[in-house]
Amino acid sequence: MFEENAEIAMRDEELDKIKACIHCGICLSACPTYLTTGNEGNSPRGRLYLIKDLIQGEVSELDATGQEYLDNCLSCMACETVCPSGVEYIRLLDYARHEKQENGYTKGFWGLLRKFSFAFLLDQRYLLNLGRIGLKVLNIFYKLFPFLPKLSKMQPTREISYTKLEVNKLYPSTEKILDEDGENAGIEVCEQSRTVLFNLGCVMDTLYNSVHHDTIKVLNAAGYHVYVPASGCCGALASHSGEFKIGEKQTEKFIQAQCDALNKLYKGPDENAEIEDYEPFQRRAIEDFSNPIVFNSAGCGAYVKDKVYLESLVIKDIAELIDPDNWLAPISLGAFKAKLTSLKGTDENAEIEDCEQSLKAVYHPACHLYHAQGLTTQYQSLLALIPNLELIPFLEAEVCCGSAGFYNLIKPKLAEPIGERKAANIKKAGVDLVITANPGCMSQIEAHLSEGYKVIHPMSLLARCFPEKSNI
Amino acid sequence: MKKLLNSLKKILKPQQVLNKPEDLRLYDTDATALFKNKPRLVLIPYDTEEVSKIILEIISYNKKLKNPQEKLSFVARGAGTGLSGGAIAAENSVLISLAMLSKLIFVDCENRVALVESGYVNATLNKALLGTGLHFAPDPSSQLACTIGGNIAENAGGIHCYKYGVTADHVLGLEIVSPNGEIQYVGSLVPECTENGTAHKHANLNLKFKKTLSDLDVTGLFIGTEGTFGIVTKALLKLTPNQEAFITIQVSFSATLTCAEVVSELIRQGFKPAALEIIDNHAVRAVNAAYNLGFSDEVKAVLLIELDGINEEILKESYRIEALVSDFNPLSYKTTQDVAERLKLWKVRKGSASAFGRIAPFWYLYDAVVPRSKIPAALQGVERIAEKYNLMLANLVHAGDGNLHPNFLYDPEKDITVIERIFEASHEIMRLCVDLGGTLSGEHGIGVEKQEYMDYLFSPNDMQKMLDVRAIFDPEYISNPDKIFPIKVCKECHREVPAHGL
Ligand SMILES: Cc1cc2nc3c(=O)[nH]c(=O)nc-3n(C[C@H](O)[C@H](O)[C@H](O)COP(=O)(O)OP(=O)(O)OC[C@H]3O[C@@H](n4cnc5c(N)ncnc54)[C@H](O)[C@@H]3O)c2cc1C
Ligand code: SF4
Ligand code: SF4
Repeated sequence: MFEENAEIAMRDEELDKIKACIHCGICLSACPTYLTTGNEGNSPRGRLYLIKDLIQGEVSELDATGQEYLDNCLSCMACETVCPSGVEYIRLLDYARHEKQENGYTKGFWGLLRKFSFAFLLDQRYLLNLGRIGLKVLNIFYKLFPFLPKLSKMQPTREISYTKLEVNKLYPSTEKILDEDGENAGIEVCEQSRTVLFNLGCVMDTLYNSVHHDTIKVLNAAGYHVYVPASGCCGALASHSGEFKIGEKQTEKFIQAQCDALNKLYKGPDENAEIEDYEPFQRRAIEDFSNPIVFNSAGCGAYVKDKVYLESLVIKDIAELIDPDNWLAPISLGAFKAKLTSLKGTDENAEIEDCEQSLKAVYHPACHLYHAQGLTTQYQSLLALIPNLELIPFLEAEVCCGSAGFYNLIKPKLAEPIGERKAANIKKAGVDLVITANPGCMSQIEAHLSEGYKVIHPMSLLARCFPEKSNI
Repeated sequence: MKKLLNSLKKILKPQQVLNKPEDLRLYDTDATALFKNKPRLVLIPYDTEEVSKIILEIISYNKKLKNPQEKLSFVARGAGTGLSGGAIAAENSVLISLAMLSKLIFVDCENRVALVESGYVNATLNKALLGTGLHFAPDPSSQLACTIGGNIAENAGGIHCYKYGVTADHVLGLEIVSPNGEIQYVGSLVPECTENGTAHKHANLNLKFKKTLSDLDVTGLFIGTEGTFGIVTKALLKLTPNQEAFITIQVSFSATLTCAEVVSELIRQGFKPAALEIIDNHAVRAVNAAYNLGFSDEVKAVLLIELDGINEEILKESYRIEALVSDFNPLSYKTTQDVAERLKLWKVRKGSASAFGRIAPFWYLYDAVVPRSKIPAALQGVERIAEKYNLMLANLVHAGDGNLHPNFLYDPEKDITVIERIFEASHEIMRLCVDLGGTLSGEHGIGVEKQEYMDYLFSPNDMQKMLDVRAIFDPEYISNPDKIFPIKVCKECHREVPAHGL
C-alpha cells in the first residue's frame, strides 16, 4: 500500500526533480508564508533552495534556521499550482522531512503531547467526544466569565451541537410514494441508487457534526445510499504534521475499515441485519464494485487520494459525485434539484434568515480541494444551483487561510497574520457569508472574522437554502 | 557589525533582521542563478520610514569606521526575479527587501491613477483593478511575482509594450529614499498624497498639464537605474483603459526564419498590433510539454499576434493579416476572440521561460536588442553562434520592438564546460547585435551580467557622464554599487572592488 522504504529509493529521482526548479521566483506571490513575512526562507523558492542543498549533499543537515523555514510551510500546494516548470514541491518537502524525523514539529514536551494526541485521540471516537464535551464546558465557562483571557484564538466559541451518526449503518436514499390520488403513501428505497462509503473522520464530526448530517441528506437526495464504516482518522493530520509513522498506521487501519465495509456490503448481511432490509441496494452493489469512498473534508480527500493505491478503491470528493458539469449521480440533475427543495438543513449555526431573498457570499476554496485535488470549478458550479445565491469574487481567494491541519495550533505566530489577511480580504468583498468545504478552514476563518459573519459548509447551504418557493 | 545590529534591532522587530548563515545563503542570488554573492545582512522594512532609518543607520555606521575599506553599502530587492543579477549584493552590502511594502494605497478611477508601495506585485494590481475597466499596461512575463519597484528599477517591458510602452511610460511620480536617508518626492507625487486614501484629492494631479512639463523629468531619469540612485518606496502609476475588443492570432511555421520574415513584412506594411511575439524550436517543445498544446514535431516556430481596439477595425485588420501570412505557407493558423482562449495563449507565452525546467535544469536567458528590420539576420546569427558552441537554443522574441531573448538550456553536471561556452557565445551575440545597430539590453537591465559589455557601446567619456549623474544622487557610492558600469571603470572612479564570484 505504501511505497516501501521510499526514502532511499527516491533519492536519485529527487535529484532530478529538484533540478526542475530554475529559481525564477514566479511562485513567491502565491505563497501565504512569504506574503505575510516577506522572508525568502518562507517562500517555495527559498525552501527548495534549502532542500536542494540537502539532496545534493552540500549540507548533511539543515541548521535550526533552515529547519524552521521548512517547518513553517503550510503544505498548501499553491506553489505547485503556479509553478510553470512543474516542480513537485510537496514530494520534495516530504522527502526532506522524512530525512529528518526529529524535526521542529516532533521535539520536546509539546511534540510528545502531539504524538499522543495524533496516536490516540484522533483515532478513538469516545476520546473525541470527551474532547467535544470539554470544549462545551469551556464555552459555558467563558460565557459565565467573559472577561477571562482565552486559551487560544482558535478555541471555538460557536455552539457545538451534536447528534450521533451511527457507524456500520446504511442511510438509504428514499423516495416518496404517492397513491393514485397523489396522496403520500409512505416512502420507498430508491431502486436505481449506488452506495457510497462515507467516513465520519475526526475533526469534522467533532466540531461540525451537523455538516455530516447535511452531507448525508444531500447525497441521499442525489440518489446515493450512504454507508458509514466504523473507521477513525484517515491519518492526514498526523502525516501533514510530519508524524509519518503514526499517519501511515492510521491510514492502514482506515483502509482496512473500508475493505471491511465493502465486504459487508458484498458478502451479505449476516452481521448486520439492517442491511438485509434493503434488497435493491444489495443487488446493485454486487454488479458495481466501485463504490466510491466520499469525503466532505478537503484535507482527508486529498490525503487519501494521494496515499491509497488500491485500484478497487475509488476516492472522491463529494463535489465530484454531484458536479453539475459532469453529472454522475444515479438520478437526474433536475430530480436532484427538486429533492433539495424538500430538505431541511441540520446546521443551526448556519441559520440564514433571508435564504429566500438574495444571498451574497464568498467561496473560499480550501487548498486541499483547489491546489491538491485540482477541484477549481466544481464547488462553484454546485453553488450556482442555489437560486438566490450570488458568489462575489475576492482578492487572494486561492491563498491558504492558515489552518492547514494543525498548523494554526502549532505555529500560531505565523498562522495569525495569514488568517487575518484572509479575513481582511473577505471583509473587503463586502459580504457576511463565507462558504468553505473543510473543517480546518471553517474554524480558522471563523476565528479571524468578527461577529456578524457566518461560515458555512457548501453541503449545509445546499441542504438549507433550496427554498421551496423559489422557482428552479 | 555588532553595533549596527544592535541599533537596527532597536528600530526593527526580530523577524525583520536576518543574519544567520542560512538566511544569507537564501539571498545570495536572484533569478539569474549564475552569479552569487551573500549579503552581510538582510533587512525587511515594513514602511518608508523604516527604509529611511535603516539607511541612516548604515551611514552613521560607516562614519564611525576607522578603515574605509569596510564601508557598508546597500542593495534593494523586490521579488528577486531579475535576470541580470541586479539584486545580488556587492561585497560588504546589506540587502534591503521591499517585499513587505506591499500595500495598494488608492486607486483613483477618475484620474486613472493608482498609488502603490514599491513591493506591490505587478499582477496583483491588475487583479485589484478588475471591474474598474482599467489596467496597468507593463506586463513582464514574470508579472505574477515581480514588484512595481523592480519594474521601475529595470524599466521592465512586456508583451504589450510594443504598442503601450515600457514602465517609464506609465509612472507619474515616485517617493524615494535617497542614499543619504532622506525621503523625497519626484514627479506628480507630493507628500499630502501619500498620507491616506482620501487625501489624494490634494495631489498634484495636474495630469492634463503634464504634457507641457515645466520641470526637469527626474522621474524619467530615475527609472531604469537599477537601484543605483536610491530606493523607490511608493509609485504613482498611470492606468490604461481596457480595450473594447481584441483578437489573438497564433500561427505556426516550419522555420524560424520564415516567422521572422513575416514579422518584418507586417511591420513594413505598417501594422501596429498590441503584441507580436515569436517562440521558436526548443521553446515550442517546452511549452508543448508544459501545457499540452498539441503542436506537431514539424512546428519550429510560433508567432503570436494580438490586435486590440474597436471591434470592426481589428476584424478588418485581421483579415489583411491572414492574407499576408498565407503567402508564407504557415503550418497552422488560429484566431480567437474568446477570453478564456486568449488567456490560455498568453499563459503559454508568459510561462514559456519557466517551462524550460522541463527540458533542462538550468537556463540562461539572454536579453538583446536589434532594429526590428534586422530580426531575421539576428536570429540567423544567433543560431550560427549556438551551433558553433554546441548549445541548446530556444528563442523568445518580443518581435515588435526587436527584443531578442535567446535562451541556452543546459545541465552543468552533464556538460562541464557548458558555462564557459555560454559566456563566450553571449559575448558573440552581444557583438552581433551591437554590430547590427542594436543595444545591450531590452528590459532586463545591465546588472552584473552585462557590465563588461558597456564599452561595446559607450565610450569612457559617455560612461563618465553617466557616473557623474549617478554621483549627484549617490555621492558616497553606497546604493547598489558595482553594477551597470564595468568593474574596471568602477575601480577608477571609486575604489578597489573584487569581482563577483561565479
Ligand atoms: C520567468 C521570467 C520572465 C521574465 N520576463 C520579463 C519580461 O518579459 N520583461 C521584463 O522586463 N523583465 C522580465 N523578467 C525580469 C524581471 O522579472 C524584471 O526585471 C522585474 O522588473 C524585476 O522585478 P523584481 O521585483 O523581481 O526585482 P529584483 O529582481 O528584486 O530587482 C531588480 C533590480 O531592481 C532593483 N530594485 C528592486 N526593487 C527596487 C526598489 N523598490 N527601489 C530601487 N531599486 C529596486 C534591485 O536592486 C535590482 O537591481 C523576467 C524574469 C523571469 C524570472
Ligand atoms: S518552484 Fe517553480 S515557480 Fe518557484 S522558483 Fe522554482 S521553478 Fe520557479
Ligand atoms: S506549500 Fe504553501 S506554504 Fe508551502 S511553500 Fe508552497 S505555497 Fe508556500
